[in-house]
Amino acid sequence: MIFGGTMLSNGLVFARYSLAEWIQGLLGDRLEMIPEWILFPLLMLAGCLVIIGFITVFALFAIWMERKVSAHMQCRLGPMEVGFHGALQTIADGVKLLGKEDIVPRHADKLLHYLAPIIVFAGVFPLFVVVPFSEKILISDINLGLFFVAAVGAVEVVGVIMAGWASNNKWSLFGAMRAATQLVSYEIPLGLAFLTIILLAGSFSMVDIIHQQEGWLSNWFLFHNPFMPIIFLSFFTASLAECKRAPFDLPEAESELVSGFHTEYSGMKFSIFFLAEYAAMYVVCAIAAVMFLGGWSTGIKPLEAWLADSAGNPMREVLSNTVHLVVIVTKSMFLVFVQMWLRWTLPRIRLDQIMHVCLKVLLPWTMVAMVATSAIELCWPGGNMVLTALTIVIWSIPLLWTLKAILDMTVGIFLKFVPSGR
Amino acid sequence: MNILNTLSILAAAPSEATAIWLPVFFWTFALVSVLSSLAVLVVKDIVRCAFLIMSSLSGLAGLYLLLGAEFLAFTQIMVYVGGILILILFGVMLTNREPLLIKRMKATGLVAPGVLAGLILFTAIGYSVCTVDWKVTDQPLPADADTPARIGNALMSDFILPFEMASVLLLVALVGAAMAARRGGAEG
Repeated sequence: MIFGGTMLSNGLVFARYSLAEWIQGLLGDRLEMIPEWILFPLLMLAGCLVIIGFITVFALFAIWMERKVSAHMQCRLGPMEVGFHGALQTIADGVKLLGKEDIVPRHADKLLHYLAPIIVFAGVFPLFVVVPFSEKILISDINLGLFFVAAVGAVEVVGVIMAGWASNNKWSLFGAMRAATQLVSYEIPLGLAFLTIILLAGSFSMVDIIHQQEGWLSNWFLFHNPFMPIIFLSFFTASLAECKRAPFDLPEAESELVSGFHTEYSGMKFSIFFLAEYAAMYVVCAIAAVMFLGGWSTGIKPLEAWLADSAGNPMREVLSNTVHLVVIVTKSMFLVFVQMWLRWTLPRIRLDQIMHVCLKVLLPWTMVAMVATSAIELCWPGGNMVLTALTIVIWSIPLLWTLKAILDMTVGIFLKFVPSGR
Repeated sequence: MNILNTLSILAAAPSEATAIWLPVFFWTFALVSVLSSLAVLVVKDIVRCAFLIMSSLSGLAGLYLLLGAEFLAFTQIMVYVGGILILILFGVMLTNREPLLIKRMKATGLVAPGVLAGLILFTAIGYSVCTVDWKVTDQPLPADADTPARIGNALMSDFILPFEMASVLLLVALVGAAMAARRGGAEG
């Protein structure tokens, strides 16, 4: 919770002053004296530091959250010793990792072994450039945002293959090979899901995509037509494979490959792999939130209109940015929770099953949904209320069924232990 | 001077004020690209060569970015780094028998054809660079110079034939690959 607080207060600082304004507030008139060609790299550096700060804080929180979620799903308590309910456990672990010896196997390719964690991190880090937090809190809204995500997202796998190869360990190499096989399978449904959203929004830019979904909840692309939830499910499944999360965590498979591509890594290098994995989890969830769940939009039209009407009212702007920050982080964190939930529920599947799922199940379904969505967009540009209503009706059946199953398993079990009246 | 505007413009795109950094970026990307291409020739370990190809291709993507061709730069990364390079690595690792793959560095009678092919390629590229009438201008690029919308329109109108030809070629390759894999499966 402490971390949540820090995140929020950082967010408030940046909500009041977007990065540039904040720098001006810090330096005042002295800013005029600094030539622009020095300011430019400084601004870039500041952006990088903000991203690194966010990744670190998020990873601290998410690792603790993962341990607590997994523990409670298995009727354990998880970390309880350090701090309130083990909240400071990750910091203690981080300090431990810092102090660990950095071991490089004797016959490893030392240069590649050293470079691999850097490349893995470099494949995730740039994605934060386009991940939006609110109107004011985003690093850059490049007009090819989604395409950038699709392109840079694959670089991480190069780092994984490099790690697996350089370790000179056959389990690591198996992990690397699995990562490569997995990549060529999940990239296609992932790319088709991107394509559908680009088709609906008519833009690659994250901010444009969010603006297209403002207004009532029914404007979210998830409810655009009955086929969109298929694309959402397909995207979410493929993104699980992209983050190497269970049930697609084959490259690291603890039980078969002794954690696969990072078996031979220790200390800080290992923690960089870990950091990159958790950062990638947030990125794909935030992008799913932007693409399907309306990004920072609350889904309540009058509230959105009231927040947007901030002319000459600086406090309204602060409030608007804060609300939007909380909304998009909540949506993303919910999806992160679903990722954890799946990890501790489903067993790991085999490599041929991954290819089967991605190429023979997800690909045809996404293809059908994409063609159908294009046809619908051609007939009713900008969406149709009847179709939205139909979507909600059709898809509420599996949703309610899932909710009932969850309630049976949680409240139902709890009620069993409550002594009856007498 | 309105500092806020300047800062937001700086954050959006390098303007004239930041032009001083362009040579720095250019030389960095160019050196990365050229040096790693050279290193591919010299380095003996084939897997390292593959990773050097990655750094060469990424340097090229950086150069495209400096030219304002964002779409091309991202496509470069997506196709070459995310696709072709991974396939190269996959192939190298699948065919691996030794702990470290070592290139044969001795001349094997391919020197003459190699030199010849290199010369022909170099002459062809040099000829086309020298003869094309490059339109040099001092004007800044229009804002929509490199938008996917314009590329899409061009592909679906003026260049529809090459575009469709490429699609058919890819389809043939896909079907061919599936056939080859199936026949191999039936025999083995």
